[in-house]
Amino acid sequence: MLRFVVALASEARPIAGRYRMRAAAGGGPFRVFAAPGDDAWLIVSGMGKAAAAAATAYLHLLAGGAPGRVWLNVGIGGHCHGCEHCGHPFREGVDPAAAAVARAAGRYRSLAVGDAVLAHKITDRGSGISWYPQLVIDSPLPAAAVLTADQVEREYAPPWVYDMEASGFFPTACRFSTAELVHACKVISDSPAASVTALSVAAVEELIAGCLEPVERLAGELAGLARGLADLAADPPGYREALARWHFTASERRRLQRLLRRLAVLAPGSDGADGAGGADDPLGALAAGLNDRPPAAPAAGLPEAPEPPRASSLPALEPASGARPAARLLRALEARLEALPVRLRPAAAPAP
Amino acid sequence: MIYVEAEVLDHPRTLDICRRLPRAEVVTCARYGEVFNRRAQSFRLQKRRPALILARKYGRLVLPAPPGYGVGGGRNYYFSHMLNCPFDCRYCFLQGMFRSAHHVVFVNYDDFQREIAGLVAAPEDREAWFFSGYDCDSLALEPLTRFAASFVPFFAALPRAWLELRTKSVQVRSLLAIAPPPNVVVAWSFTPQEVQGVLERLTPPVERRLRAMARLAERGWRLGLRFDPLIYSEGWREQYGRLYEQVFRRLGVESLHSVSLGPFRLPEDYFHTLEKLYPDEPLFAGPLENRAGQVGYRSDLEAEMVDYCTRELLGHVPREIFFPCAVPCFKDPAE
Repeated sequence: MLRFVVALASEARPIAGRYRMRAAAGGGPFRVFAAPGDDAWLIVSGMGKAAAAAATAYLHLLAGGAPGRVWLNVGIGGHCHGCEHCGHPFREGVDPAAAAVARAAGRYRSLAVGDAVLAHKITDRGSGISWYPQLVIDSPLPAAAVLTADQVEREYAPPWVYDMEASGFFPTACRFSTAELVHACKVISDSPAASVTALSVAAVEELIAGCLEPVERLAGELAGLARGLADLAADPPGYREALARWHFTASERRRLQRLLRRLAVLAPGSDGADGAGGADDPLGALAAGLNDRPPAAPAAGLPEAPEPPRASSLPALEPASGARPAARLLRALEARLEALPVRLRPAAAPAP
Repeated sequence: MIYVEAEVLDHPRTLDICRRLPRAEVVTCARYGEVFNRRAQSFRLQKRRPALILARKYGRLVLPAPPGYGVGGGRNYYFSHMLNCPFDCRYCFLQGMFRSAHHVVFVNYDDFQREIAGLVAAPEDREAWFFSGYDCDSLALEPLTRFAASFVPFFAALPRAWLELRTKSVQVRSLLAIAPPPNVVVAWSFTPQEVQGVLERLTPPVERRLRAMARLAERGWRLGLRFDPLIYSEGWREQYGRLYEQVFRRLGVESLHSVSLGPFRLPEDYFHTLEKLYPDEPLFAGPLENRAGQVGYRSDLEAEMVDYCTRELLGHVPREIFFPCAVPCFKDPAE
């Protein structure tokens, strides 16, 4: 469920260690690590937004191309520690509005080296385009605006946290997932008082290791949301079995999926004893019933009380009566659904 | 989280709202669409924690209401000082219309009021109705937006215009603080308690809404009842019968300006969006059919429900104040 994108090998090591990842797919354009069971992947993009975008796309495909995963860009960033200490002028250059509101509201957050933040706004300095990562959980980290620069930042005008990858990573990852599951986490590593050029590999590792606990918590919560969404999008019971057994046209497949989903909702976990052809083995029951009678007419074809589903499931549908088995099955499913009562259930929380 | 358009950062209403939410993080944006209209957003996930967006509304601020939307007025308009609402009603078409569940509040009320005044001033014989609860709940965020506190006195000075505030909330404090103008109707939407409990997450229960209505009725406010949409489930007849008994036990007909009802209908594309968002929802798995691009209950069932509810309602209220909505009341999604 987790996909990490980092710029440097020194940023990768603490994360790979925490998730017990090992090097994967040697010889490719990027260094990639993966945890057993495909639960977590990490890619080392190299510096810059173009590299970050390319690595994000590469990892998506390498990890199987499934949509709806959690994407996290973790890395170091620069930030002015606070004007009153460093004497840095409060420059109103890049986003004067953000600076003004932060200053006016007294909300300008002074971050020290080692502090980690989650981006609530990512702005690409080159194009001026901004993105807004959507936070729908309690964040274990404070939020800040991240400005992605093309070159190493030397001035650190507040209130931004400066990095070089987020604006390449974020919109690319949003092509493969929903924005609520895509985030950028930055650890403050340099400032006007502490130049990035003086940072050692060991220091970067230490900075990233220092924020692993909240990052892991964030990743865990987001992974829970992602799993919920994946469950909702899963094929309904009986769908794959039916496709394996009978031939459905493309439109019939869509119809089958929709009908089976409705059946699973209206007769959840039914064992078929109520004649519903329950959701556990809906087709088994219907198919068994259909073989005992002529094909149902579209409007009046209510198969009466199909037999309870059987472990063997999906008996052959006899083609003798004319209609294709798939078509007969769809009609029977529709008729079955007509007969089911709608029982509203207590509202689920909006979380999947 | 509050996203604020840079242009309205120093608008008095922005400052007022931000003051009322002192712990919220303020993030600036150029236009609200940067946050609200982006692709790759999950309405369902965002409903967990919707953010507030403060913006300026441009273009036409007041639009003709869709055909069938109205309570007998000659000219019907709607305007939206807000998009989305804090409640989470599973049947709500806004889930199909918007990509984001965030609440957008347009702070330039004065521009809305200028446009309304212009429409009212037009040489027309027919009275103009203005509906405020189409893309939002008119009162749910009143303590924050002070929408009614601003617009009710404005309409009080426009005798040829009518304002309908439509809500499911019980936020009536600002209304109780002002004298009721004769041309403002406060309308509540209802479904039976059994439906409210399962499909209208975060809304006040039926009884609390009725209490709020009764308080306004005591002060002389003109009230509306909106039984729209009618929701089918096992036992719907008994549920609606009980609802009407409950409502008219609490409210005298003399306080009612109008009563309306409408069947559950959604434009086809909205319905498919909702079905994908909530594939586990029995409401969308029921006896629905697509008729000319509108998804609603099977026509025989819909007719049965409308007939039954009409009969029941007319046992309580005179026909002159009853307005069934027989046609789909949706605006053109392109607007």
